[in-house]
Amino acid sequence: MTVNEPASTLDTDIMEVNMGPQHPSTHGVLRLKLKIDGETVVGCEPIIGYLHRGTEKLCESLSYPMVEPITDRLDYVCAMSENLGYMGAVEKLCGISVPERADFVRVIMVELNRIASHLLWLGTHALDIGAMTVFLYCFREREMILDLFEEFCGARLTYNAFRIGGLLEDLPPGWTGRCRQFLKVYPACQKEYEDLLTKNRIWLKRTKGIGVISGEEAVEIGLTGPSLRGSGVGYDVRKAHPYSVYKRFEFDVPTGENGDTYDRYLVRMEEMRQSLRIIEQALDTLPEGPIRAKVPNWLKPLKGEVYHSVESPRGEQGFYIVSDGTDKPYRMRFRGPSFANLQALPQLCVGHLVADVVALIGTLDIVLGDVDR
Amino acid sequence: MTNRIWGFIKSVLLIELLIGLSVTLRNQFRPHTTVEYPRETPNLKPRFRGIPRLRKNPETGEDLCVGCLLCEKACPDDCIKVVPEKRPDGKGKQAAKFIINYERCCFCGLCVDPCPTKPLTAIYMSHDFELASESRTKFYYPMNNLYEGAQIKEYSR
Amino acid sequence: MNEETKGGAPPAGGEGEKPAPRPAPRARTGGLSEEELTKEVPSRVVERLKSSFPDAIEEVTYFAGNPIVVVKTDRLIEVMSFLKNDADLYMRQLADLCGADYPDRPQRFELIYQPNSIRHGHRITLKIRIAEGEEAPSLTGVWKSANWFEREAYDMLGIRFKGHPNLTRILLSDDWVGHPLRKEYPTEGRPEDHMLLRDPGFRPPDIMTGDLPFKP
Repeated sequence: MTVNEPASTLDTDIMEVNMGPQHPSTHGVLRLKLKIDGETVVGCEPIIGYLHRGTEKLCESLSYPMVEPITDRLDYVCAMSENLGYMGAVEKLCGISVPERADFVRVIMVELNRIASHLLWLGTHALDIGAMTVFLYCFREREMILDLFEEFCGARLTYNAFRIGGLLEDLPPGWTGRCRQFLKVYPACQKEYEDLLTKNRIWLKRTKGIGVISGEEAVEIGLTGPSLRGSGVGYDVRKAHPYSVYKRFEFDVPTGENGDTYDRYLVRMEEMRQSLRIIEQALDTLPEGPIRAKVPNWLKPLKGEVYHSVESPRGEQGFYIVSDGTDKPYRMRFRGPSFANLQALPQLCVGHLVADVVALIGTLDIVLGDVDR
Repeated sequence: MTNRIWGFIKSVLLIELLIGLSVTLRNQFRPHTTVEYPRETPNLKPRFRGIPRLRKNPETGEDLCVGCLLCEKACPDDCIKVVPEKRPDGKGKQAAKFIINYERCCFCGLCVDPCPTKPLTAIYMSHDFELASESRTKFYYPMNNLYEGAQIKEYSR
Repeated sequence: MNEETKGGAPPAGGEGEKPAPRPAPRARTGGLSEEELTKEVPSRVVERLKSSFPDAIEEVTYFAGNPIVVVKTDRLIEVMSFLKNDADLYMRQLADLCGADYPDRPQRFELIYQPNSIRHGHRITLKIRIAEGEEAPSLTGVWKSANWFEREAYDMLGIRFKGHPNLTRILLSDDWVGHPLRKEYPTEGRPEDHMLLRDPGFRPPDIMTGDLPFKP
């Protein structure tokens, strides 16, 4: 019997644990290979590709209008942004100018979708951390937006709402009124979530100081969107490289200070308010007129290549199209914001507890359809 | 300083907890928003995109489809197959066979887009969405099944 | 939904493919003409690059108001570090990195970089060209975000990066054969699944007997 054991034998071994791919908090099929020392994460390696559908290859055999339903399925939570980005890229490639009314309607849709997407994010993020009620409330309000979408384009998730050169159909009669009704109702709802969360002691404990990343680091690692703005870098594609008619609207780009989970939460909450502002201005100045430019059904762009990016609720959604002069894209590249954002996860995780990893996946707001494409 | 004292008092009295509880209490008295789906049918909007179906001319009862194959070409999933034939009266064409494979269909509505029959398009997105079936053969709709309207399914509790 | 079908769509009736090849692919867009799209636009980044690296730049083209600069492969890291650290350009973020495959060219692959300046709002498309079997220089030393993008380019196109810390497949499984985004990789899946509806002698299945042309 040895009595004097050396102190090092009391150390714990580093253990490797798989989180996912079917973990309920990974928002899809994400597998994290965690290296943990007791409860503390010392290493993290995301393993992705479980949802890879080969969309980039698939697009090479489809004509330009046919790609739109596929963009719906990249980031299925904010399909409107994807649609707008793809349409923007094709219109840039062909030099098509879109009628004004169509542009305004597109912006209204995209901003509504941004609210819907952030609501889904808030609900699931809060659910992961343990606030069940917020989840139910968020989905209730999201339902109102989805009803508006269903009325406009006929679908609730994979919208396929826009067409190259404009819109397929104009807004249904009475839609603007119902949209305004939503704008009236919604701020009170958002106040409810903030009452439940912003000052909540458990919420503060779980989010403040978790996953801190400095602005410089965040830019370096390729974070975009609210995750980047939470670190104090006010980069928004809508402001930096204005597309569509965003130049005409007044809105602020909210930024955080500390770059932690709580700041990213605040940034997204503020973004929803800014979206409301944009929708209100767009509804007030919605012009009359045609909704679709004259574009042939069998589109044949010139030889060339464009990169077009839009600000999706998750960050910079880029589309890179190479055309070889035929009716099918030669190379189609989707730059998913979630893919780039997920790359920062190992850096954020290290030093935190396993329970915080759940909060960190939530705060990056990844959608696995966008990561894996 | 006053802020800190006020913050201390707040945290002792659990103000933020009470605010949160008041929110949940208020929501107890709101009307229900849930639609209990199989028992109640959801309220579909006019533009709702269900499965694509074919339509006959409501006045004459003739086939609207002119067998132009545009929907087949526009379909990103290759789920439509049309075999055109001459109309019996010799004018134009009609579809002899029109098959939609609902296993593939992604409900995008791109087939309705180029349909040349105006103002009523021959192919349209119906409001049917209850497609679940126990066999794959049921997803392979031949032409006469495409004309039928929604088959209402009965649910028992 | 209305007029476009008349103007642009192929003739109705499905006479099949026309055998006569067109002399040159003519653009059918209804948008801007070729001259307007490929017009040169003044760009500060290109000017700076031209003055600092006159020998590294192979080609500068413009499309839709965006400059596309092709640089020599061995000078890539130098150029990129310059773009990132120069106070006048300050492109701190690599927004995107992807590859493209052109099997007819002697230098088969193209790697396309989209560096992005958050401070100045500059944007540029930068390209290098490499032949099959050649290694591309890895940018992981310049931008951390290049890590996964390069892994994806390796996964999809089989381009190897010199100096990458962990060059393994990222989206596909480790035992996958082939690189899907190469042009010779088949686009369509199993013929019995996909070509079914395209077959002119296709017979619709008899639903009563469950006679299916594919195996469920």
